[in-house]
Amino acid sequence: VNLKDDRSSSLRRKLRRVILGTTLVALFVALGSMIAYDVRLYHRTWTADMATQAELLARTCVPALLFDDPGVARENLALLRLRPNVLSAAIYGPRGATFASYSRDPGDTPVPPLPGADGIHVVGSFVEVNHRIVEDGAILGTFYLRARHGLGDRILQHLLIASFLAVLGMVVAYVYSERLQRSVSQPILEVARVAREIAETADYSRRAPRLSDDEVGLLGESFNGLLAEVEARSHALAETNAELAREMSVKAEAQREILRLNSELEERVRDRTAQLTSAMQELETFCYSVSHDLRAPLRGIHGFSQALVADFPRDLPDEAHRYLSRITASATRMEQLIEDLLNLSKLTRATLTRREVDLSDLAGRVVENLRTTDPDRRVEVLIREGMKVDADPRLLQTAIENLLGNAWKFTAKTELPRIEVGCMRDGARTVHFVRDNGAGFDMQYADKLFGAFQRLHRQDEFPGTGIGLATVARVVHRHGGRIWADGQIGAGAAFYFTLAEPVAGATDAPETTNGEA
Amino acid sequence: MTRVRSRRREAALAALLLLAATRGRSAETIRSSEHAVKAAYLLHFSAYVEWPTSTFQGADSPLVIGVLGDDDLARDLSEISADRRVAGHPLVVRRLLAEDPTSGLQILFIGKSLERDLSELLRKSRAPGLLAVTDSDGALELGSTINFVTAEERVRFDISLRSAESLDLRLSSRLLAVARNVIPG
Repeated sequence: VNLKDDRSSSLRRKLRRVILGTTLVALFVALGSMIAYDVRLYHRTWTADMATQAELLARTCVPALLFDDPGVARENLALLRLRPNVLSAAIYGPRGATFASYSRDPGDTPVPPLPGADGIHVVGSFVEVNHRIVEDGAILGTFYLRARHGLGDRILQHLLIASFLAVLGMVVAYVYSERLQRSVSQPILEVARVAREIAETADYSRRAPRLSDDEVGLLGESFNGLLAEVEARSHALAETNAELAREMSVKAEAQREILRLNSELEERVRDRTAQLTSAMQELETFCYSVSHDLRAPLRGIHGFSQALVADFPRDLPDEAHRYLSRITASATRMEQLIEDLLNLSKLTRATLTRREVDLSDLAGRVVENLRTTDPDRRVEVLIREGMKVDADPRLLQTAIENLLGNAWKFTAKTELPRIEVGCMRDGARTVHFVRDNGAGFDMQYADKLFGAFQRLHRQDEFPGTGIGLATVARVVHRHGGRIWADGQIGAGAAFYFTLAEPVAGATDAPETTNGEA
Repeated sequence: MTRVRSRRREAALAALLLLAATRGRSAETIRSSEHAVKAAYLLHFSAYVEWPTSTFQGADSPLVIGVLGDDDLARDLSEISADRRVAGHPLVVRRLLAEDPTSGLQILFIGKSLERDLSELLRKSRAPGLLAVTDSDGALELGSTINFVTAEERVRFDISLRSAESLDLRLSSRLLAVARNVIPG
């Protein structure tokens, strides 16, 4: 509370200081000039009075001088007792000898032995008057008068009165200014008080009262206008805020709903995945067992067909032999199919063990194998040197065998067969490819290339089970990579694959380390 | 030119007055200067006396001082009153004999030498507007208005106001203030 008072009264203090200061200056100037004027006037009047006194007395003493009567002159001078500030006086004869003298107190300074120059002289706080007594143009003598002019007393007295008046004036000015300045400071202090209260309470509905019609009143009015504006704005802001908060809560609700749905969805996906996985496993188990179980009857068919040929080489007509060889071929092919299916199934089940594999070396060995199996073919094979990949060696070999085997197969009818194994960088990933200039394929079937049992060529044209590319795709996918193909009928085909995608790179890296360990 | 000359005269007069005053103050020279002092006093009296209006015909009519029985004084007076004016009237000094008429005079001085005939002279010359100045003991009782006396080795004078009033003369109080004795009217 004290602090508040101090703050609010600072304006009052200033105003009071201004008023009192001005009053003091005015008082000083007024009293000072009055004193100066009065002292000057007093001095002039007083000296004139002394001169007159001297002249009068001198005139009175003329007969005494004329008729040489110092006694009368002394009596005349003695009249000066009535003027207490006259200390001494004398009349000198025409030659300067003392004719008669007067001293107020015997102890006083004696009159000078000779008269001074005619005129009035102020010496310190004394005035000396020398007045030549002239009668009919003749100098009869000199009248001398010495008096205390009391100017200092007068000034002192004036100063006392002035001090008293100044104090009185200041007191009156103080009392009056307390009332006057209120009319100036009160409206300002009111505005300040309202401003402070608003700052403390943030209540913009308050208004400064209008206490005057001057600029301060105008200030208060402007302040109120400002407050109204602030109030309106703050209302609008509060409304906007409420609106936003409402929207936010709606959005949060929606978000929660989405999260709930998402979790539901995830739950469902997990369920489905689990169902799917078990179904897949069942299917694979089924597939495996079927394939496995199919082998026995197939072996029977194959064996008995061969036994027929072996046991009855002549008894059977040529036609039967032809049929038997067809049966044997079909059985062999079916065996191959079952083998491939089993392999595919194994790929799915086998655990993935990654380590660094020299892809160039691997491809070289595979090509070497192909050349051995088919020594009649002349195929130009280009393998880029030093390709190292991080992969499961067994699975990768299967994939490369299939890819190169395909290339080898589909370039059989090409005049200058050429196979290329290489790699290129595509941003952060390395893309490997196997390219040939063989039969190629129609791009509109590109999406069917990697499905099991999908074939784009007739069996008699290019033999195959239709499982190879499915196997390759399975290997690539198990490594977390991608595979795609590019081709044109009669102009060759190119198979591109990656063994890891950069998106999974972060999680892929530690896996690599694990694989090596 | 005239102003310069009159200044010079004033200066000369002042010097003379000075001389008279100092002589008056000195005991040794009092006898020799007595004539001069009395002459000066006689001259000064004129400034403190108011004559009846009928005495002067005009503003610049002369103020005539007649001297009986004291030639030294008459000489001195002539010297110091030359070219002087009192209240605008030029001063004229006349040396008179006992039988000379006193009409037309404003001041009449009767010297000590005529002490024996003083009563007769005073009676004969008595007329309104004529100031009689004498130099003899008991002259005031005989009708004189101002009478010189020597007291404490100074030249003083007594005044008879009764005589002055009867002669229609008004004496200034300032003159009375310096008189030794004043016989009231």
